[in-house]
Amino acid sequence: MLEFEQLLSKYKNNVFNTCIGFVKNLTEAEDLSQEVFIEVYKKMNTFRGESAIETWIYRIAVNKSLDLIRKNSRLKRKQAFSNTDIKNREALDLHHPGIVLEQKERATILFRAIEKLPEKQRVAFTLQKLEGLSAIEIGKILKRSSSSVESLLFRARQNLKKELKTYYEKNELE
Amino acid sequence: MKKMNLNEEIEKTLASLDHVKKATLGSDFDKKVAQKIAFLPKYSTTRWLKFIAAAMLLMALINGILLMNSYSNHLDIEADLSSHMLYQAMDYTEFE
Repeated sequence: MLEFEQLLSKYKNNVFNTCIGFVKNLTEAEDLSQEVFIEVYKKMNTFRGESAIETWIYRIAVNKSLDLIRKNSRLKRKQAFSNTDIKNREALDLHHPGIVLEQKERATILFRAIEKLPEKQRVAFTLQKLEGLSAIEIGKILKRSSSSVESLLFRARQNLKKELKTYYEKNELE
Repeated sequence: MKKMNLNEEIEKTLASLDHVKKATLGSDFDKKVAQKIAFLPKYSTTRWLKFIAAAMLLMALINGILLMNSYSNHLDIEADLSSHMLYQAMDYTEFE
């Protein structure tokens, strides 16, 4: 098995990109990536090799990202009770270094729509779009069959189309 | 015409995340992780809790065994006493 340092240098950027895909914030994604590798370090001895080490690391990254998203949305809900000015806080602050400026507006709209997807669809779609993973690879991370992932991706696309249609109809196309 | 624009816009937006460049971490990332690892406690809380639980279980087991032993000793003494008393009672009846 690979040493921890080797794992770190081999997978750190994959983990970082996965985390940015979910949290859309560089600082949070970096902190999250550190947490992922600390977890990898702690649990390396108990890793039984039932899946590829890459899949295991991705799974930790996805779970940590989802935990943070859940924590943030709980916090948002709490704040919403105490303050009525929710609009500003709900505005998505997109900081993805890989997205070119001319695509930033569209990407922000898409990310906002992705946030409204059910969790499994969101995970599958994000891993496919941003990490370029195949349905088989996503299936291994989510512990699902590739056909089930394909159906998740199909439903995610349908839901996104619906969401974007509503958005553009509301915001009137020029 | 408007519907065509709408579909086109949706497709363009859906494709806005295609070919996104991969972000790379700075060189200090490894150092930060190493620092955090260095500050990790050597023994985790769960490990300590497991140790305490095992110790408590062992103590309960020892107490149980001791209790059982003392109870059986008590029964033996009681049996001895009652047989002794019976013997004495029989003695008295003989005198009478």
